[in-house]
Amino acid sequence: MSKEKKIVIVSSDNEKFTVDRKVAEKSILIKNMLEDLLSNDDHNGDNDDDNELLRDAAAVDSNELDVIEIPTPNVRSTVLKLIIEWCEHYKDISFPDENQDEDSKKTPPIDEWDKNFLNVDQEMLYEIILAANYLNIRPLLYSGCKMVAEMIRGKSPEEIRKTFNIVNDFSPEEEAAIRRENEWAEDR
Amino acid sequence: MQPPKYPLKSADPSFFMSSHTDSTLPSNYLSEATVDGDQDDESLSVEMMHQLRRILISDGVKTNRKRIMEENKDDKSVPTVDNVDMVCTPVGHIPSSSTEPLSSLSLERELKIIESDNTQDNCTNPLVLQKSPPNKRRLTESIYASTNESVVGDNTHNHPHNIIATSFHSANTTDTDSTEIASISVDPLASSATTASLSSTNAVGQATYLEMDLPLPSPSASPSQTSFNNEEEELISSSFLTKEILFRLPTSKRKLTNLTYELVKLLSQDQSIEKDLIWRLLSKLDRANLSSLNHIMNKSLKRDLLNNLPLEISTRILSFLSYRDLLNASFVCRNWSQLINNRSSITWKRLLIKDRFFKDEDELNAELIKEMKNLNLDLTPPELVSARESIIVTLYRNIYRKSLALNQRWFNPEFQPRRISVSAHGPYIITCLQFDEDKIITSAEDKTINIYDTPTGKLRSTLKGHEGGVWAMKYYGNTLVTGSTDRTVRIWDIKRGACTHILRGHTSTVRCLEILEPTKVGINDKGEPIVFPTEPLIVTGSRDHTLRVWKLPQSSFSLEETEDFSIDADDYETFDTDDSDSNPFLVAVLRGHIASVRSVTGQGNIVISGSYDNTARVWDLRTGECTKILKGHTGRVYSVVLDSKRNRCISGSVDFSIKIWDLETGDCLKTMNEHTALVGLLGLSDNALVSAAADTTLRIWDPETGEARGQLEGHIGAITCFQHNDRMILSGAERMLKVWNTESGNFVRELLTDVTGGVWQVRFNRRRCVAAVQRKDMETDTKESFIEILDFGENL
Repeated sequence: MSKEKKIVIVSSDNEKFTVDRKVAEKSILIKNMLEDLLSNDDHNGDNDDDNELLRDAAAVDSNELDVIEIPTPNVRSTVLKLIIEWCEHYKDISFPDENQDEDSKKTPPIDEWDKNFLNVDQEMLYEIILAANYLNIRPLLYSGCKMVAEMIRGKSPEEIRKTFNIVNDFSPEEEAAIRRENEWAEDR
Repeated sequence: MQPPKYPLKSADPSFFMSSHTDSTLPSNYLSEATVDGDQDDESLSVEMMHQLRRILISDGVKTNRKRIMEENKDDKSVPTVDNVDMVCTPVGHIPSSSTEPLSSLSLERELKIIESDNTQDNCTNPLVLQKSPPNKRRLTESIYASTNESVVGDNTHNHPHNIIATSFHSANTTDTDSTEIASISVDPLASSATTASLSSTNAVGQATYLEMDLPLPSPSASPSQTSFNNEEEELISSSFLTKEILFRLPTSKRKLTNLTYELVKLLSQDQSIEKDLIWRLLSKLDRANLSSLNHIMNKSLKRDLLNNLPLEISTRILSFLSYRDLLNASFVCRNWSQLINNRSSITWKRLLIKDRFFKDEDELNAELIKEMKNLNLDLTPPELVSARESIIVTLYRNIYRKSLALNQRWFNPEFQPRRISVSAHGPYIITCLQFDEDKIITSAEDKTINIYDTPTGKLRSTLKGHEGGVWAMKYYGNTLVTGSTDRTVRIWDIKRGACTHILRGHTSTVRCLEILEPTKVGINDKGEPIVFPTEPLIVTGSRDHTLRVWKLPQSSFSLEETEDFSIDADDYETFDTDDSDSNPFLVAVLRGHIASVRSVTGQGNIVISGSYDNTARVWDLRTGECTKILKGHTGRVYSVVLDSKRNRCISGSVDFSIKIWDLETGDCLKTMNEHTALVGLLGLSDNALVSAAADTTLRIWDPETGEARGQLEGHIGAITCFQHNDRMILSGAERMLKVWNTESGNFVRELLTDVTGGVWQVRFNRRRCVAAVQRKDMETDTKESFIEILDFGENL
């Protein structure tokens, strides 16, 4: 029954995005919220919930309406739109459970589609990563992290500084100290 | 790039229509020289001059919040409010009735003139200025200037004023103010035939301006609205005054800019409209300028991602990097160095495991504790809590450094490890060998067990008691378990060098044994882990066709308990009973095989046994039942390994084949027939299944698919022993001890070149290799066994 409900995700600037539950549930945050919400309905809202978001969402009585609104006060519409695009793309793909990633010996390269998807300016990448973290969309978060890692990989310190517009604030003494400390690691 | 939200429709070229015939940018378009050199092209109409003049006089008061830098006056002092007007319109530059074009003030200079004292920084807007506190005003000016340029020559928008008005009009504002603005725009100036034409060079100059003045976006700042002085706010909110502004036409571009700015402010009460305006202004840019802008925007949208993101995300990013990348990154700036070298121990932990220097976190933690012990480091005092993370990172880095150096030594054929050779067990075959940082234990055909000191190779004790050759041996903590042809299993206290228990029951040689540690085997209904066995168990396999399961007798002198060895070993009473049925240590007898049990392995509740009856059997110790009989081999099964991760097992047989079995179904999933002789030895690591055969080769297999990944050729006799991990394989056969690369399958080096007999056993850990070898003297035809200790970790 609840499966047919439409989920409306509301951005920080009040733009509303209507999505399938399947899509919305790519976000573990939303997924858990929906589960709590719908089970709360079953118990006639017996549980006092201290989750503000949940209360907000619950404000729309999901029993009577076919729409559940979920506010995402940390995500602005432009970013949210992209996030939803990502979720739509992966709606039929189930990702392995959490903690699976702790098998850190294997880090598959970044997915090609994600690579294209995340080929945005750094500000947008930053916001997507933060949003994915907040919404708990682990595969997207990791792809974002990998994108950043790609920007660092194989580059000299100066190239990295250029990439991220960073100023070298080491004093010559400090730089020499670090260099000394890592001397042993220089090619041998 | 993401598509712009507002109608920057690249699909519609007319949208970007530009009249510039010369839209090509000079190659040096970013240089200031270009800007300065082409100022003469800019001009405003005479009439406009007139108007501008008037406005400047009456409008001077409104610039009282602005600092003005007058470059004509060489000194860069800030003029006072009173002389603003004069400064802005130096006599001779803009004569009131002259037809001279307004040319003396360069666009760039003009734009630099205005600096607001009391506008707040808006650091997250990347288009703001770098040199001075960035503000919205500059943004607007910049955008305006570009817009102005792009519509030149467009007949319907041939005047700057019109542009502004049109822009406002199109901003979908329906309030009366904007309607007025729209009508105002048809003032006398609009009828002027002369247009304010700006050359493309000026626009380019504008781009230069943007480029030069773009700030480093301040990464820590959060978006903040520019707040303006209250007076100004009031001024704008009054429609009358707005009208006043609009009636005064700008005489200089600065004024024009100011006007635009004031008008933009008018709309700034509603942010979305303001944004809309900006987008619309931007839409007036031609493609070339958009491209320039895009380039600039991308540059200015850079930010220190690693440093700006929350720590747990930064460490995640770092964990995708290699050691070398981390090293380079730590040279970038202080923050990065701090992050990598002081704050993210988890990055290093992951790296150590990812680079396969450590099998898992447990192994790494053990090393960490060892390292701390070495340094006499105690992190428990509360005053050290804050420094804890930093110290641990340092320790991990140190461990990484050592691991890398160790690895390089192992893989460098030129490196000669420190070697200790110790004569052992006379001429007899050494049947088992196990060691750690402290001790090396060997068992032999000669009925004895030797315990050596690992660092020195000194013989600590010889355990005597078995009445036949010792063919099975393993230790757990301070407890050593041995199996012999004398049909007994004996338990020894390693520290005391004494036999504590004799377990009888097998009716023939004890050929193999396994110790099962308590392991999490599942989760119960309450989500709690199920641990099995509850205490360590021994499983012994015998030629009597059975396996026996015993409780591992806990040594009364465990390692932690005491260093007191005052009780003489000889005085210690050894547990021994002939009554095998009432033996309190016997847990179960596993019956089913119809020939000798040759090999046994297991984990948790699962035990796998390989037998000379051509089968392997799967046992569940919770019930003591045989759950699966793995049938398929056509010869004796010599070796079995358990792949608990995939719930499989792998068996090697004298029929030359290797088989992978599904423990759930008991089905044979794959048979590998590549070996051409007995497959006597199998080993499994995370990434590699390795088999060693009597055909003188070893082979590497993909543990997932069973696909062949490598064939290690070079030995001249049947492989007698090997050990491997995901990095390297050490193999021993007649006269040779070799190192191979697990990943590539390449030969790395010889470890011992002077062995004249067999290599019976080989074991290695991170630092050492310990091998049991035989030396033959051809002339005297004598044999002698040795323990060879190769230490790669000296001076590290």
